[in-house]
Amino acid sequence: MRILAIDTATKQSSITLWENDKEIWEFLFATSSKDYGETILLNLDMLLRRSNWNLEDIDLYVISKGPGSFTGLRIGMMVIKTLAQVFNKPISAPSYLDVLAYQNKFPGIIFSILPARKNELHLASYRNWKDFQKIEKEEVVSIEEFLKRINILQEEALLVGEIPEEIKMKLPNNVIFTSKSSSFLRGASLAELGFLMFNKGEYFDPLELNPYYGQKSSAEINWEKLHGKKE
Amino acid sequence: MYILGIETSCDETSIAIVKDGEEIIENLIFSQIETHKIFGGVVPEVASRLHMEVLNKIFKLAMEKSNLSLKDIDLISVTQGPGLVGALWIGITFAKTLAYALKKPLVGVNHLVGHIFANFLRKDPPNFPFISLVVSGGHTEWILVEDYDRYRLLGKTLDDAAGEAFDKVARLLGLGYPGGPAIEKAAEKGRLIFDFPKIKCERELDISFSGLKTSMLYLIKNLQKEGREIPINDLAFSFQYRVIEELLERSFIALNKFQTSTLVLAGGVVANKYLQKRFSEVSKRENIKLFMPPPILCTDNAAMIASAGYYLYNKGKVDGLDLSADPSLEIF
Ligand SMILES: Nc1ncnc2c1ncn2[C@@H]1O[C@H](COP(=O)(O)OP(=O)(O)OP(=O)(O)O)[C@@H](O)[C@H]1O
Ligand SMILES: [Mg+2]
Repeated sequence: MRILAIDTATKQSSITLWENDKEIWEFLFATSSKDYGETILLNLDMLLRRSNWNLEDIDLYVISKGPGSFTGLRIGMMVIKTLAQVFNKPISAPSYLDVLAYQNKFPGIIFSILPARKNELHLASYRNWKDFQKIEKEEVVSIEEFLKRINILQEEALLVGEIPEEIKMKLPNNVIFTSKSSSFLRGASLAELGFLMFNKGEYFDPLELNPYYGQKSSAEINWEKLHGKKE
Repeated sequence: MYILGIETSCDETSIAIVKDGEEIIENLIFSQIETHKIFGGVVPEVASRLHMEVLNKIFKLAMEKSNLSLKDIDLISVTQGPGLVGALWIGITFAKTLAYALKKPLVGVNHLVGHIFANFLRKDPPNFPFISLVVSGGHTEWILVEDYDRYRLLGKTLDDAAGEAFDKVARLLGLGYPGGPAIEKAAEKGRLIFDFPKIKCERELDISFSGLKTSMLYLIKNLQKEGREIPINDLAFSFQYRVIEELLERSFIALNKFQTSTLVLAGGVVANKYLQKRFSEVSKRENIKLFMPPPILCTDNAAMIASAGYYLYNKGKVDGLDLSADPSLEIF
């Protein structure tokens, strides 16, 4: 099975061509909110040329659905949705936090972390020793709340992702964090997890997929402050 | 030749299929206005999210309705700017991916040029050269158009666009959003009771709406201070009258100055029936050939983008996979 996987959730973006037990082509590149859209198709074209793969041969599309940069998520997902629509193929869409946990083996609990708004984190928890298991799904918590939670933990824990210095300084002895190179999403891990999900029947029709933002826009938040929640 | 048009520059998501630049096969427009209404204006992040949700679905619907297949599409034309940057990127990324997957040429189009080309979606389009007045939510400009790709700016608003002035004055009068249609409706029941001062700018083809807006504000404040009822309908008419007379006057100055006999109106404000009536009357009297798109083609739509893309492509314009959104793209 041939997979094309894209991740544009953070400043470190990737495009991966992945065929199980055969070859992997992965292009990891730095982006900013200004050039996600400018570079993505040029890079995809380059990778397809170098690998001699054709879009017609792709069986499954994989995208990291978020959380992350709002613009980045939309650009990557628009490319994937449109390709899947044109070639009539399914999409599997693990969250960015899922992939972070999936690419790190650890005997205790794993917390995947990405900064959200000021003093807040995107958080989800997993086990990934024998099997990969999601314990708590994505949520947004304050740094304070997160520190409270890890301070009452009874077991070993691994933090993976972009971890604020403030947290690193206050970690109890049973909590460690990964090296820099394991703390951002790697394309091959995204493709592999997408493949596993697909095999479990977890995939989308291209038209029904949307980014997982995890946060409302600031305008909506302000509106709710003034008028109360919309239904 | 079938052209696929894509428009996502502001709060309308639209996909169109146009044949040979003139015949509309499909022109599907999904308006986000109802969502933005509660915020009193367009919220960029909300607009981007909605474009993302619906664009591929609208594309599918347009293809199904047209009975064409993907390989029938010969050219892909997309709004490059001006507009909201995040919203533009949705359409552009979709267009680039589609062009790449289908191996079809891609053209990025200026949204204002698109508005002008709403007048080319017909069997007898305007002949060059002509004067175009673009009056929309973001622009008020007089342009001398000498060819499909030759534009000269003659004059423009020094502050608000006409549509924006309609929107702001509507808010002052408590008429809601979007203001243009709301003022037009109120004005139907109104009379000219207040003669707003003529608008004067240093250059004869420039315009400014800030003075008019301020006059309106003080008028309302004074009435309120005196405890008198606000004659909303009459004020709406008086405002609309002043704006349209000023647009009319400058358009005819431009036609005279450049010895042209064709006037092409473009942009959302042209949907205004009183504007259409006044421009038709005066054009007839002065022997000017007047072009105005039907209302649905005045506001944002993808058919106009497809038409512009067709003519520009025939002039040799093509874009590559590096095509980027330009929120302040100029046509000159
Ligand atoms: N009947 C009407 N009378 C007056 N103004 C109107 C009418 N209908 C729409 N408008 C105005 O037209 C504007 C919308 O037009 P349009 O969609 O062309 O603008 P836009 O796309 O927001 O701006 P731009 O094209 O400059 O980027 C709004 O300001 C609206 O109030
Ligand atoms: Mg417009």
